Amino acid sequence: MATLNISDIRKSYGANVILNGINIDLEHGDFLVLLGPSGCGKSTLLNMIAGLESIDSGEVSIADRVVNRVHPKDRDIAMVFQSYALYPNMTVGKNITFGMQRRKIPKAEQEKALSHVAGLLQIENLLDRRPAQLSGGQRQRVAMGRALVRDPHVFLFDEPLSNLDAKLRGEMRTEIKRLHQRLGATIVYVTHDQVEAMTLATQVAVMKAGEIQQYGPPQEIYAKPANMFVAGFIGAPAMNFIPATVTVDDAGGYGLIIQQSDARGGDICLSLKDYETSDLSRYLGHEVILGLRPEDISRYIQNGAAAPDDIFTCQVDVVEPTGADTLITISLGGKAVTARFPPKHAGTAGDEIVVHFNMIEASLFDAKTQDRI
Amino acid sequence: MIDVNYSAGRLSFSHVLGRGFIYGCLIFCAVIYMMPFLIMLSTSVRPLAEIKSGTIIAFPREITFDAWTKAWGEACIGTKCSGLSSHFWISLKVVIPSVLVTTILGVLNGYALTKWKFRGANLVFGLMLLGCFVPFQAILLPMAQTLGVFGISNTPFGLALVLTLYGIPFSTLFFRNYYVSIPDDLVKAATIDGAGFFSTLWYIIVPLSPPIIVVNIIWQFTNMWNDFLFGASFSNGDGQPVIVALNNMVNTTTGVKEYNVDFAASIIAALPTILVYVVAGKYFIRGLTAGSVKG
Ligand SMILES: Nc1ncnc2c1ncn2[C@@H]1O[C@H](COP(=O)(O)OP(=O)(O)O)[C@@H](O)[C@H]1O
Ligand SMILES: [Mg+2]
Repeated sequence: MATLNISDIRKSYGANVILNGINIDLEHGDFLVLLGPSGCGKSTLLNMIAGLESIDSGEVSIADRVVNRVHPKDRDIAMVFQSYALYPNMTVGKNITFGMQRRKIPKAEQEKALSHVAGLLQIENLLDRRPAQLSGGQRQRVAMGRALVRDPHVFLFDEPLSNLDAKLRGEMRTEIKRLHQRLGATIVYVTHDQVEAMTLATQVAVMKAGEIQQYGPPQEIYAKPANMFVAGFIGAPAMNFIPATVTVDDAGGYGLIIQQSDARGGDICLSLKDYETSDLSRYLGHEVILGLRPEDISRYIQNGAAAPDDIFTCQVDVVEPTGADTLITISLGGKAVTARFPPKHAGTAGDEIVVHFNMIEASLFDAKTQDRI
Repeated sequence: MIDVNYSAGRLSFSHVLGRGFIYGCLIFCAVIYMMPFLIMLSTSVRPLAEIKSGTIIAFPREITFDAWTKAWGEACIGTKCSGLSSHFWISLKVVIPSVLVTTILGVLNGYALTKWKFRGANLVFGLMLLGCFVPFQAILLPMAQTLGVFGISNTPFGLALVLTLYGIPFSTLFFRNYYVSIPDDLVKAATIDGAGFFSTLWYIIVPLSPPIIVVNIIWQFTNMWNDFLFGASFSNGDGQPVIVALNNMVNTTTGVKEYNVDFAASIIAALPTILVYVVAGKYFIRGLTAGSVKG
């Protein structure tokens, strides 16, 4: 049974197209993260699922029921707002039970649900306070409590953590993940933070300008981004984009040439024998963009065995220790390229080092369309 | 907040001098501002003979409240000599319901215009704003005709209706501007929680409104109570509100000019507005600045 199905949703304000044909299909227990830069239409989409915003065309169904014309309160959803939207005049307890009170649920049942949720979120001692007397993290919990108490078909979260400081955000992220695992609920979660997307999601929809760029499990989006926008948006530091030319060797295997302007070692040749698209004849002699994540560039240390392919010498420009890893910047094809090394491999700026490109993890993008090849 | 009484370092002579100058100016201005009222107060408790024998500006040598009782119950307005009291009650009867109705309509309008934006909401608001700028003289004749058609000319109800109508634009402006600062997310959350138009208003919006309700009540009460033009135009005889009656009383000549009675009557007529401000004034100031600063 599809828990949430969205087909070809469109929305414009006047001549401004906000959402341009969105399709989503969620099973029970899925955690979908809508990820994209601000202004790309994530909140609009979420509000349309909630019924707070009208739908120009397309269909939203929740639990196999088309809800386009169903009032928000009857859609069996609960929502957590970025601003928390706690009712300032009500105590925490009242905030959480207000929805049940409007639905005329018996008092005893309300009390039971309230104490259950308060226990779940560890806010039992806050129930008599007003929102103004709470810290940011506590407000966040109350906002989640208000949603959890409903036990709805779908939870909607609109950037719930973006008003918290970094440490608290990390803690609440873990907490949300734990809640999801424990309750097995279906969640649609909006964020512009790719770390939240990677850590929480079972499915990620990367959005840009009202369109879904890529839809899939986070690891797949990370490893095989559908285009340069997705590749650049996910991962920090971002994926390296290196201009290169496709060639073919004597044996008929494809390779890449990166032109090095400085004298050292001349042009760099990389093998594409493991690349997922085996027929690159279309691109032969043309420029493409090689996408390689910082962790797929490592330092090659001579150890007696035969040297692997795809190694070359270069100079370290900048060394940035971050604790667990050290970020190294080298210059390649006229572009700064970032690599993530274990600190003991880092060396110092100015060192000549041999690096290895793990081409199994490489992505190739069409230089014009920016789409994955 | 900056503590004005704190300044780093030694209090220098020029600093003290500057402070002294500032306070001197303030006290001087306060005295000038209060002077007319103090003179009225002192004159109202002096016997008429004392006023006539000396100057009008002087401390009372003998205090009597005769002028107050006369102004309240005996002074002549036209040919009728029963003081301001009945007119005072008429004013209350006209103003209190008008203030309540404009407040309720202001809440409803402001709420609908900000939280349930319908097509053309801004146009409607613009037109209502225009109502704030209609010169009242311009609508006297058509309004008189309208009241005539409904058969409520020269009744307290008719006067209340006019005051209410012309109070609505300002109330709408107050509440609308206050409610735009209330986050829309609250209404969205309430909608999902199952609250409709009126229950969201009642459970969420109204509890957040006391500051602006106080502002609106003070503003409307003061304006309606002090209204002279509509009162003079749309009422007569026994139905006149206290401000119009006061004017007629002062202009009713019975030979001697009774300054003490006139002044006592003026203070009586002004008392309710002063009272409203004293009771609710601190909320008034708070309400006027609410929204500009996040709480
Ligand atoms: N009521 C509205 N009228 C006109 N444009 C709007 C309205 N609401 C949102 N938009 C526009 O729609 C776009 C998407 O907004 P939103 O969904 O809030 O983006 P996101 O949540 O991804 O940051 C933005 O460019 C915004 O300016
Ligand atoms: Mg948003």
